[in-house]
Amino acid sequence: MRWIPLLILTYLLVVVQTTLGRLLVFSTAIGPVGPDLLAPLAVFVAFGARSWPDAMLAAWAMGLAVDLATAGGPAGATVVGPMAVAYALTAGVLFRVREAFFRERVLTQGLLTCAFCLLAHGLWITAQSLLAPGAVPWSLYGRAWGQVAAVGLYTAVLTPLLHYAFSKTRRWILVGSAGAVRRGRR
Amino acid sequence: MRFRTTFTRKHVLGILVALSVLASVSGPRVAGPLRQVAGFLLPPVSDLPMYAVTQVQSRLSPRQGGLSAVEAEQLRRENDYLRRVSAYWRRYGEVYRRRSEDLSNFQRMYGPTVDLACELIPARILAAGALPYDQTRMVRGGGRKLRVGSPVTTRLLVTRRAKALPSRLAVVTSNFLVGRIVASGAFTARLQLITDPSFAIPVRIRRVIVPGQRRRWITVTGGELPRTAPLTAANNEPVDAIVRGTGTGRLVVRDVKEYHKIRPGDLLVASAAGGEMPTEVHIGKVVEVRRDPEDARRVTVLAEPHAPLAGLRNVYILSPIAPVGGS
Repeated sequence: MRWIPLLILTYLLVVVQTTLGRLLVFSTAIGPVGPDLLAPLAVFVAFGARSWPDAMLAAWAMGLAVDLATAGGPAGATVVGPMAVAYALTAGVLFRVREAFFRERVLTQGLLTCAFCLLAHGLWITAQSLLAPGAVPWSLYGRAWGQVAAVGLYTAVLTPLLHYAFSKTRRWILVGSAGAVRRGRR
Repeated sequence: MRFRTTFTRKHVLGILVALSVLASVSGPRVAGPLRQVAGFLLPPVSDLPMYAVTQVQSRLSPRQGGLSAVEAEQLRRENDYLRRVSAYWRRYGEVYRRRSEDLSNFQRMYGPTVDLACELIPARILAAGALPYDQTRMVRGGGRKLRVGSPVTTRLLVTRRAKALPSRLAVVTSNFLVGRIVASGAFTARLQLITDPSFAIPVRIRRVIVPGQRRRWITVTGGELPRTAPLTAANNEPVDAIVRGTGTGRLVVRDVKEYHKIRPGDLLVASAAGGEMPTEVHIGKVVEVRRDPEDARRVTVLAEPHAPLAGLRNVYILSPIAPVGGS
């Protein structure tokens, strides 16, 4: 893993997400819905990392960046840390199961990114709701899960494009191969 | 005997995850300073893209498209009414003007006064939250450390006095409340939008009387036995309430008594009586009134903010010169 380029890419994605990314956010009845641009990067790294500590460390850094750039959540003010842990754990799970999937397929990338968002963001809203200073009503928590599902689907739709862009920078952020990539049946 | 220890990435990961858990349970004491440090990294590059975003969003916002036919007609009727009222008061004004010519105490009339005991700090939105659940914005207020809890508005204050005024004296015109400062550092601060679920502020609901519209029958309780009467300018007292953000771009006022007969089109004004605001500032307009299914005597009022929060760029932070509510 090339850590400096990866951290620079993470920083750039956070800047894009907190500024230009607002153009991709739209209001719905359950609240604002927009893509999480760092989730596809975490999935890309989990697909290509040589070892599980590398994948989890990279995802931890991305999660921390999201945590630091997010001050509000479903229950108001948020704490720093849950997204870093959620990203790291989810990337660890993804690393373990990656051999079971055809990673080069667009559908796989989209589905796994959606699953990544559901798991990481689900853990995040649960942790933030539990750590919130006041009691969070179930209606608010349920609505936040609706937002998580919408964010997951939205991010999954954008994932193939982002994975294509990340694949162009593969040699800058990943070192060597990530073991045999399982190919689909011909 | 020597112990050989190897420090691997697994150890680093374990330490970092443990620190994250520790930071999580420590709450805002740790989150605030960490975000302040991170706040130094974003502003250098986020200003230009945020400018582009706000420009695009302000052009795409449906509220910029003008009035609907119904709203235009309502506005025309309202203007006719106000014109008549204005003519009436102009006549009275002329009488009082002649009387005031007899008065000689100009010093008392035109001497320095403090209209609004607050300072306006211009600030700019630098970035939004990374996740869509976040209803806060990062702002920079000219390199000053902003006071936590300060209200944030959209418009510049305008004075209409012909006489040159010293700085800090002003008359508030059409400015809208957009949020308040919830965290502040050396160069950046965090603005909590009024639509955030944890935002709450005392407000007054001002019922709008539109000429030609169906009359509202309200229950008047002022010092006598409750009685039903039509809403007029004389008995149109503002309704005190607490407004909260819904997290979905709207505002909600719960447990409003049904007999106040709040209707869509009424206005929400941040109340100066609560002590948080130095003056009354408009927040939003009522768009829906729902009956409480558990108590027929109460309603839930839903409102939309006046300010286009999506395309927010330049804002003004109201910083009290003296403690608000103090002497």
